[in-house]
Amino acid sequence: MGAAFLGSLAGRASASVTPLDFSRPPSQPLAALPPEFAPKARRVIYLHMAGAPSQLELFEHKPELTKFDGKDCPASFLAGKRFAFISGVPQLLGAQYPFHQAGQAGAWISDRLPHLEKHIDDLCFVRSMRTDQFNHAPAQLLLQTGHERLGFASFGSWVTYGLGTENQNLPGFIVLTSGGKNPDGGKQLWGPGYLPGVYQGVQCRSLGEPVLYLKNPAGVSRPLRRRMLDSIGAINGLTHAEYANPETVTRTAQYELAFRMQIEATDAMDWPGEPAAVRARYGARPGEASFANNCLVARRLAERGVRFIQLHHWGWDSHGASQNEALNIGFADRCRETDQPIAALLTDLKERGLFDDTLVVWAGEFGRTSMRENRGGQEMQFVGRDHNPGAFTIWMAGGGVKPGMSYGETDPLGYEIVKNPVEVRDLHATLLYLLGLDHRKLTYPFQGLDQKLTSVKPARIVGDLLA
Amino acid sequence: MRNGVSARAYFIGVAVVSALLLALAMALRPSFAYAVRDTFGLVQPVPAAPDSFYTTRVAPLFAEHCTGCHGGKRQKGDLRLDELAAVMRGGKHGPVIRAGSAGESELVARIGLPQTDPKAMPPQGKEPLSGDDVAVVRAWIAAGASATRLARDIAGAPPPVRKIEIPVLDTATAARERAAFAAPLADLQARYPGAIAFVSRSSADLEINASRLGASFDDGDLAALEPLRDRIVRLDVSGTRVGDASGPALAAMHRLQVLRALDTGMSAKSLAPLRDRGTKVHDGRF
Repeated sequence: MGAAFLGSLAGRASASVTPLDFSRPPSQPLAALPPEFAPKARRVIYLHMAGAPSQLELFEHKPELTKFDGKDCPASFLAGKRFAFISGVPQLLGAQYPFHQAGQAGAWISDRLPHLEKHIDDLCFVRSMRTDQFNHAPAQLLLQTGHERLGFASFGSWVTYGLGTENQNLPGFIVLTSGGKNPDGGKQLWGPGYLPGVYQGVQCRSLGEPVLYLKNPAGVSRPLRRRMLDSIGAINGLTHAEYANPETVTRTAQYELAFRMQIEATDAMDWPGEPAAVRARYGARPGEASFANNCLVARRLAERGVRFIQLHHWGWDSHGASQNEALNIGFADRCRETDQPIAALLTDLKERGLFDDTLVVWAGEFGRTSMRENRGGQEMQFVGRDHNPGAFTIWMAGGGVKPGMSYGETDPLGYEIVKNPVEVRDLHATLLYLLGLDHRKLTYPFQGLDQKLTSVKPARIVGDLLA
Repeated sequence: MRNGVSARAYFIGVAVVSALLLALAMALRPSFAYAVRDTFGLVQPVPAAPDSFYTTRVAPLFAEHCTGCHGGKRQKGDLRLDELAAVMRGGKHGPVIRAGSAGESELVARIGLPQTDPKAMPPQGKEPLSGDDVAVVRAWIAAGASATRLARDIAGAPPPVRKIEIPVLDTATAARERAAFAAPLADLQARYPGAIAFVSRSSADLEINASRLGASFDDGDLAALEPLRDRIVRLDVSGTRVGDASGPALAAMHRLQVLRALDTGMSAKSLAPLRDRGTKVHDGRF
């Protein structure tokens, strides 16, 4: 019986999936490797809306929900469900902003995103994303690493591991945060997990010097720095010869990268040098750690051959417990902070000939409930919604995704998926496919398993999302 | 015989009782009856046509969601859904499909139940059929549960989900094709480090990004790429000193699909022939 079980497992796994070879010379861990098959996208700009924006105030037009606004939530919505804060019988909550149709495809959108609306025919919406995590940190980890627990390699790390990066003078994976706080999942969201440390996302500061201590200290010239690194490299070489720990090589490579970055990263981050018209388009202003500035930097990094650029904007957790968490206050601010910069980024990518092979992803970590949150069973001071892992909406644009697409559907109250559910692993498999990688072959041996971003459950490439 | 029953009568008696028991078992367990008839070659197979709606749309759904328990290895409820004859025969409680009437088909009723219902199929915990999947099964039954009818004859079926087949990685062919220009490629890669790459592991086509070489890359450099011209499908010369003199060299790259040429000395006029032949040109001018 056991043997038969193992046999059936082996039969399932055998479907001629041989991991690809991702080995490189130890001194060039970020060297570009060709994808397995011709890619549609050559780089990724991932816009992580940390805190989970309400799909019901942005993209999900649900007139039925508006009709039943204020009515008690149906019992079937609550049976067997766990919520972060809702208790007792909450009331349904209609959309807080008016919706209208836009673009050739007539997609519905609320009045909060007037700039993004101009690009709506380029967007590919997935309205039926689901997750099994209803708290921020694990849900963000699931989206970013394929697992809800700590210790796994992030999406950006996988892509950098699989494809390397074009520009050896910049990190292959760069992270910028805004919104006043790092996302709840912490730096693990761009962590390398079990992959070599060199594939970790490099977080650049959005205010002040982008990378601390990148400049040589006073009295240290570039030739002196070079001689110092050569000496350190020689010593590290001896250590590596003795212990053969790949992390030693990683360390040496990081020193060398930092040396090259001293020139190139400083230039890449120098967005205030952009023409005034471009800065105005984004709403970028020096002296603040804003999402707008980060979007402009993202375009500059994309142009310079950075493989994976990830922007985290915190503050979408609209429970209604405070002004900043209110759908009619903080949520509106988040929309204002992100709408114009994202639209400018898309415009800029198009004008600079980068849109066709850059994959732009906009996503939170779960959705929000069709019910108004009633923390502790009480009516709250502000209007908000609780977490809904059962359904959320994301969009993608650019490299190889189907423009004007709307995939999946939720029920008339926007609570549960009724058509074409997409698992996080399906999304990952699809994104990797666009980058020219078969998710089954992008593996790294660790703890007796060929680890994958999509993990062990079967993942499907969602063909309907592809152009 | 002690009690006077002849051996012949005894034999006939046992045979009759055995036959009755066999008939009873076959009547009670259709799958057993099927196995018996199959053993004696009495089963008339219902061959589903390879291009039929059943084979292309319905059978894959059964294979994905049902045959783990209702297939060759296990036959829960005496039901098999791995071949059309068995599907039409049904299970322990009789047929599960009534051709022409999805509403009266037990199979449709079961796959349409909410997951929490104890009679739902697949049972709770297994991946249920999607709304579109159920619609496919319904449409097939409503149109007569045919073994041969094609997709175009089945009304009301949702369009098929686009399946993505990942091409088999053929590095041998790529290696053979790459060998033809290996020497000049190695020279040029040494001259322009990091600028020249294969499109993929399974391709001998090249993409060249000279944009990071900046002003150090000019018309002479572009001309130097001549040995690779039949293989270049993407080229980025943005920010380089390439100018109109490179028009002929670019024209010779007849397989060039995408040219990115922002902030160069190339005029719109010299890029026009490339656009006309179908190369996608990004020069920042609108």
